[in-house]
Amino acid sequence: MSVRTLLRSTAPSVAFAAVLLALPATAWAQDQDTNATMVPSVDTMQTPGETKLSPPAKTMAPPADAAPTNAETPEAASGGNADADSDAARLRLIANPDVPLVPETPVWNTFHGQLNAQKYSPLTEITADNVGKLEKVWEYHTGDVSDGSGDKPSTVWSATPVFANDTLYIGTPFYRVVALDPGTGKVKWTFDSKSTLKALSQPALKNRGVAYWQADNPVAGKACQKIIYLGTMDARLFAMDADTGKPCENFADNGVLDVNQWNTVNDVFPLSLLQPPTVVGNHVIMGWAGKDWETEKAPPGNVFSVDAETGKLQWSFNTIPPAIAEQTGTANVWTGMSVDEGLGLVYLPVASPSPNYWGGNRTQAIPYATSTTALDIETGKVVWSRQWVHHDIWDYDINSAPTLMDIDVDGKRIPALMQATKMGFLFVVDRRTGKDVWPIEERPVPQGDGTIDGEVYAKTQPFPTKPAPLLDQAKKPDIWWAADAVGFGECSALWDKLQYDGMYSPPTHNGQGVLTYPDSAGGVQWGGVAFDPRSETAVVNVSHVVQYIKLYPRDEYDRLTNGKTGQGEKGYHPQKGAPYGMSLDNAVNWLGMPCWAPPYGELVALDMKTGDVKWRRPVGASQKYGFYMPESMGSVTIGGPAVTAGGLIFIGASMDSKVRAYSLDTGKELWSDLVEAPSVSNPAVYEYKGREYVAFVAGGNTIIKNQVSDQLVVYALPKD
Amino acid sequence: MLSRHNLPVAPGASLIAAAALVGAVIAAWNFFAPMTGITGTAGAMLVLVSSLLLVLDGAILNFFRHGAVYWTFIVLGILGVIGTLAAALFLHAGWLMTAMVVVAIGIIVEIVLHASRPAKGAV
Repeated sequence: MSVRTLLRSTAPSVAFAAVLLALPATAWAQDQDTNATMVPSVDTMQTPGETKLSPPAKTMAPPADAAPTNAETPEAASGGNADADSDAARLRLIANPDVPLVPETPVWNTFHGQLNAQKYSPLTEITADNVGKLEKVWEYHTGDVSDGSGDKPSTVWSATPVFANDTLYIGTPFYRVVALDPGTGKVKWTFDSKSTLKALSQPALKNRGVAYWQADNPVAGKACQKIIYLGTMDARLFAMDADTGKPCENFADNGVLDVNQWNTVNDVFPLSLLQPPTVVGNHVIMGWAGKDWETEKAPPGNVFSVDAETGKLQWSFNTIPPAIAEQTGTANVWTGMSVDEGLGLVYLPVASPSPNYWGGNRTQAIPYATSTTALDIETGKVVWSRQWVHHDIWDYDINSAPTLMDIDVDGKRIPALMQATKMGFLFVVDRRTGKDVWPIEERPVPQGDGTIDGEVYAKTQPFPTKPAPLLDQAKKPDIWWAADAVGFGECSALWDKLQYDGMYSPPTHNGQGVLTYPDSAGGVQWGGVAFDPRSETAVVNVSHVVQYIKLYPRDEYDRLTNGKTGQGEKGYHPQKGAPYGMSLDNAVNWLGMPCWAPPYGELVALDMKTGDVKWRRPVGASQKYGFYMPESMGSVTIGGPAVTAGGLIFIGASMDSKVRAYSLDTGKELWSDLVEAPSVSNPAVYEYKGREYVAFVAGGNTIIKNQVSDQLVVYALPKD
Repeated sequence: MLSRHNLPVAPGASLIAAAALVGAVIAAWNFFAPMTGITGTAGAMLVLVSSLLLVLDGAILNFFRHGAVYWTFIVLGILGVIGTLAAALFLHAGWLMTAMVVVAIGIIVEIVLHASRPAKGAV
């Protein structure tokens, strides 16, 4: 009888004793084949109605970092014992072990459609055969838009509409909520947070939508049995009745939770709530967004869980060991999370620490930085963690919710998780334990050229073997001849001045700096990976972007910039407090043409039974000054896909402001329509009164194009 | 009775001006109307300006029918229509491309009629 079988069939006390006996052997076995920080012994697929027990497990150390156990209770976070992971605490009681990974009915009530982040709809009315007839049935303009030319910063609207309670809810970049009739777009109610419309942390007014909660058994006529949550740039979480839009009086302070009350270390900016929280059970779980590249020290990353009805803090989790929190910061969770209710785990995509491009102030281990970390939903304690970039000095934030998927590999059903990254790597691990599904190898990486004082470099970094990296980073990308010709050799000259020794070449002061392929703008962005559970096909859009980073000693930086800072996501940024300022630029010629050869963006389908690419094709069209490049060259994309059981992929995301449908089987483009700005979000697919709808927010993002809008547009097949 | 050689307006040059004017209206629509895909872009403004210059080109060709000025504006018209056509292609501006094809036909007509026209001073 195996340890797992024993656990399933014996009383908890007996199981606990057995676990204690089995622990040394289990830990030894895990040492042989995984870098997971902590590995619980969880059963294979869950048995309905069974209480789940996980025995204590040994803390495992990734090669470059030791792994402290810094999951904290609120008491520990405020100075109590940080090592709260007692063995007993890890005997996890899971509230909903019988909840299936894939909802049995069509659901699109979160940022990524479902808590599993599959962005999958089982609806079949719209198919590959009839999608060509798709037509706009209604659109709605929020009025909340700014191009930055007036007194307000530019807006970046990346919200996914949330369909729940027979209503379509959207949050806006002016921090309002609009509740709409899903079939007609008629406004049911609006809510205005009257939030500060200033770039307090991010350079633009950003919003990624709202979150929804409802009681297990809503009481008719009683307020706030169903709640919408909206976060703001100034760090407040608003809770309002989903039927009326009126504030929930019992939630925090009359419906408003001041999250900045927990901003107690290096509070140089507010804990901006731009990403809607993750709602599961009675938990509202949220990270926050900050200001990158500006300061050496910043608020240390933490994630909070509050009670869905009262806003009372349930637990918090610190990503940075308290002992070094004051000397660095961030490693925050600014993007979506995913949840396996059956396992009782919430999966955090954790960003990099501050400052982003120099790590001399944080040479100690920060093992949860740039990681996927699985927490117990009920306690906030770490169950396992995998660090994807050791000692991150490239701003390779893990920027999208990992996609949870059950896949059949080598005849075994594996509850897996795919973590997409900016690097274009797709890491696939067992979501119960964090162990590799396909080998993830620690490989030696470049060690710098000695021009940067105080820096240390991780000797190795994790490289996935399957799926293969979405970008070929072994050498400098080829130069696009047309851009080089138009630039009279400008691109070739730039290539010669850029240092590059392969992936993870560190920032330098030499020449024009270090080439990165990609850095902050490329790879996979926050739209993440979609997954069709029927065919076990993963779908992801990837951007090919070459950027370059240079570090400047403080004196030189000050002389060069004269105190001015670049705007947005490129140019000079000071990293105040660090001995180096930095610059980040896109590798383009004087006309703005990319120096690297196309394609600039692709849509990729992966067979998750084998990890192999099924097909890949350019996605969208690049556009500059209005001029479109051929679609065979593709487009940089921000935003992500949705997949349906109708055999379709819906995606906007491209520079050309079009929304499209592709065949899931072949990748063939089947339908497109022009919207007012790039749809830099994930579409929503929902059914209302027997009709299937596809909704896109066309908000725009100045990272890819100076075009913004306030348009929500909804499509359906014509009525018979 | 007027022959085709002494019409008050030249058919080719007039076609150039008229088609270019239609092209300018289309370009203006692309620039100013929402949801054209190129609304407010530098590219849309560029073809608006180049279309208006072609209108001017056609008008000038109506007045200067001979000599260096005439051929200068024929050459400028050819360059203008090629440039605008190429720009319209990359702007995905199909109707503007159609207008530019008509402008090109106007230039051809103008050259053909000019070749069949009696030399200046001939009876």
